[in-house]
Amino acid sequence: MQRNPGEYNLSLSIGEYFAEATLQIGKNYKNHRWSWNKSRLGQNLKEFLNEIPTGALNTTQVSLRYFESLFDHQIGSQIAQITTRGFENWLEIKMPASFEYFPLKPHRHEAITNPDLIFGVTEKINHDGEVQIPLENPELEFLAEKLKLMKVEKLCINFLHSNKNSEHELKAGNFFKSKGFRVFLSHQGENNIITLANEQQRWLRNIFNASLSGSIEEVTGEIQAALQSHSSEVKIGFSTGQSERTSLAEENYIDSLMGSWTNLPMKESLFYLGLEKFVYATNEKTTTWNSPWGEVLLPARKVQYMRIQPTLSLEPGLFTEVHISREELGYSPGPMCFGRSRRPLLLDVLNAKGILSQLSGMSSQINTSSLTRFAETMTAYARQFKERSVTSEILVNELFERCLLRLGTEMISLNSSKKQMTLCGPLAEAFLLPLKKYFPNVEFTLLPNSEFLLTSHSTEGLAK
Amino acid sequence: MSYVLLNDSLQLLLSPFQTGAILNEEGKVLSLKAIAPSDIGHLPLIAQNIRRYFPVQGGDIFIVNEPATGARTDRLSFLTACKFLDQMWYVVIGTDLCSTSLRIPPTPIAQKWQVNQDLLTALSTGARDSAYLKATVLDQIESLTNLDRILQTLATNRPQLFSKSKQSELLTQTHKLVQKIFQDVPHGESKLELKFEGNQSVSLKIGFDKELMVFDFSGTPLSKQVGLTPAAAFGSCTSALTKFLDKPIPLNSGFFECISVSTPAQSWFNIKLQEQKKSQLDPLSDLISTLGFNCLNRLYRDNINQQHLQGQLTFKVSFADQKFFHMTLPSGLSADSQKPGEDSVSNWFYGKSLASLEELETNYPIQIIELQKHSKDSSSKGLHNGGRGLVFKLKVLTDAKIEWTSGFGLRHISGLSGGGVGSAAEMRIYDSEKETSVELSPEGTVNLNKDSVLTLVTASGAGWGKINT
Repeated sequence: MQRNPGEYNLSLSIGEYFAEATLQIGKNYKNHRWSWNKSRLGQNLKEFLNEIPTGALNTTQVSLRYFESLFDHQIGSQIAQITTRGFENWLEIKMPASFEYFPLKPHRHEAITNPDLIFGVTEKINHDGEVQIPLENPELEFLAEKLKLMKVEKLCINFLHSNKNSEHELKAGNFFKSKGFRVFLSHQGENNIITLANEQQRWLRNIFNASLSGSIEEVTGEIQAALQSHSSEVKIGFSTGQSERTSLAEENYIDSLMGSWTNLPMKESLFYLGLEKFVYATNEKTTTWNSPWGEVLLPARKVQYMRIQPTLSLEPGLFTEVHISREELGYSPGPMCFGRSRRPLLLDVLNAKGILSQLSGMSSQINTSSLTRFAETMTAYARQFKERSVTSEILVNELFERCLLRLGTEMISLNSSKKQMTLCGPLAEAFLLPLKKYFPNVEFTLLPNSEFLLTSHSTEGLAK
Repeated sequence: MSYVLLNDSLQLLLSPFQTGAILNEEGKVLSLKAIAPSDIGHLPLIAQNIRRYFPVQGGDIFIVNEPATGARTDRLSFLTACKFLDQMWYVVIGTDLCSTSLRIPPTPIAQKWQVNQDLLTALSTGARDSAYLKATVLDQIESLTNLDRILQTLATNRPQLFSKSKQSELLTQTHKLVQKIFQDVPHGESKLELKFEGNQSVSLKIGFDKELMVFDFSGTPLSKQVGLTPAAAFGSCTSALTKFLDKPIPLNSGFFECISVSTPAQSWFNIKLQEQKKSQLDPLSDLISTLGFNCLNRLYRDNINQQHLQGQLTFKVSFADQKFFHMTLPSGLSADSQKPGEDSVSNWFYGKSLASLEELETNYPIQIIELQKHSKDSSSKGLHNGGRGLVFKLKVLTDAKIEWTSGFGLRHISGLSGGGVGSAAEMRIYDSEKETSVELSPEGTVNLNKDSVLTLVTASGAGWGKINT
């Protein structure tokens, strides 16, 4: 295949477990899905791109969504926070409490950063931007020594009203940079958005940017190294919640979280039925993300994660049935059918119905003996139902029906003002006919060629 | 198994609402979502009371916050009827009201899903924040109209799912399920008494009477200070049982019919209107729910005592230009036998999210000097320490007034099993070089001079277990 340099464009979407790639070759598109990890990402990319002549790759567009799952693992635990004195615990206090079934005590999600690494300094800017209490260097010097002793390398500076007057943040930032720290400032970012954001939205954004910096730079480095032989000058553009960018500055790292959803066609509201997430993507925009830690400044397309998700776990229910729980387990360790877990997930039901194996890149994932083990688990559940004699096959059919009902009901609820429900994503085609059959008076349609929509080029292809 | 599917659908339909219930033609609760324990008793009561006095047709929407119907004055409740498959379904929902001072009797605000705009304008004109009230009403009416549309779509597509036989099966199966769970636990009788807020007391006995789990409050005296309605008491006991069983049992009439709550006329569990004690509804319901849980634990498990939550400090700061803001500051939680108490966390059902400090400083003449957890030394000690309260310090830049409506629960809470006593809530005012403490009675008002500094400290949780020396 002899082609001219510059005809090849690559688009990558890196999720929690799966990476998807679309290679545009002139007017044609070649797609690939594989399970990725940091150490093999470069190698996998090289294998995918092996047909491309040296130096032929023109553009590379990346969307990174994988790090959402990292937030649960306290990735910010080594990052120090410096705030206005008197407000050291503010983000923690403001964090929403969660509840289920009348718990005796409210509890919060675990903090994203280490509470022992939050320090207050004496300073105050008022709401008009006037300096009320000036920031003095001696306090910063003392703190810098302390942070060095604690082996802190990165720190976030989160001062009140810094979006009205950034003088103190800049002064503290320059000071700590001069002492060798890597510094993230809460007022930095696109001015029109930062100005309107409140302290929680800015401070959390800043913490997420700092927390993600290591991981994003590592992954980006892997991608760059893999592309070097295919492109004379490797330029990676990142999809963000707002648009595609040519570069991703550190103060905007978090924006990449929503990049994959921005890549979905914007013309209408869509239900994206993916292998990792079921998402309702509206055609509206939002400026914040309601994270488990509170509101984060994150301008993006307004999307809603559905209550039903592919990695919800299954467990014996109260009514002699198997129940789709509310616990979303993700891919650590993943479904039984990948041979890495003993806990069944909704994905295992889809596998038992023969849906998963038909998808691109899945045959290598599915463990051949997993169907038997899943059936054994269902049979073990069935044995617990003393009042009811039921086979594993019946339980799987019941679970699939329950899944259809919940999926359809949720779609109708989310999109009740519209007659048509548009489905897309890798699992959309498999759900289309069953949904049509189950809800005969609802119009479900499928976006054609929509299995690889999370990569930006495939959307361009679709638009064409 | 299609009654399970019906249960799934109804729970999904209620999920967008803060609190709500779906009832069938006979007034049986098919599904209920509660944000506070008292909702379990009050939501069905609202539907029952409105239906008793008004013919409710499909597409009618009533609003109410009149306590005589079972509604709360601080929440606007809506009742609507949806007609499909030749059946009438009733939906009652509730949404919080911030500042209205109105008492709204059951009012037919919409017919055939069409809002009576004149009536809405007339109603909201008398409210302290008429624009907010109007917007809230319209927003909820839109949600209910939407719910009707969804129900109609589901019923057209899956008529068998909503049939009377499936409704009846759902209730029967839930009843059977609860009975089966009851059979698996040892029968007996458990009694607990609790003294709180100084002189108040409550006596609770739990036992079985045939198929019913009976919560009996006989022996609880009358009180001038505290009071709950029987519906709130029922909700508190049901939530205690739900917590104790620790299973997602559907909240429907099949479950409720397994519970009997006895609230003698000569006890403070039999007040007619919660309005007189409205600030106590949530904290008292929580206290009774926790007492019920402890009582059940004594009967069936090890003596894992849980301590009820401390009161949070709810207050309003108003200024000469009529501007005001509300705030609820969380307290620390008490420790229990399993873990330390969490620091400064709002109770999950009546704690509101705290406003942005920058927005408060921008919108009101105040400077916030401090808002953080109380010092580590302030937490009460034990094998497990109590959670820390909160310190909130602000300076008012004009004359202002602070009103607090915390109800109760601001005092010291004793630790269980030898744990340390939790610190009480405090209020101090620094004015003209002198700091004075203000006694925190259940409700009160203090005027603040320009440049006064107000310090509010919320209670810390009690410790659990004696420290071995």
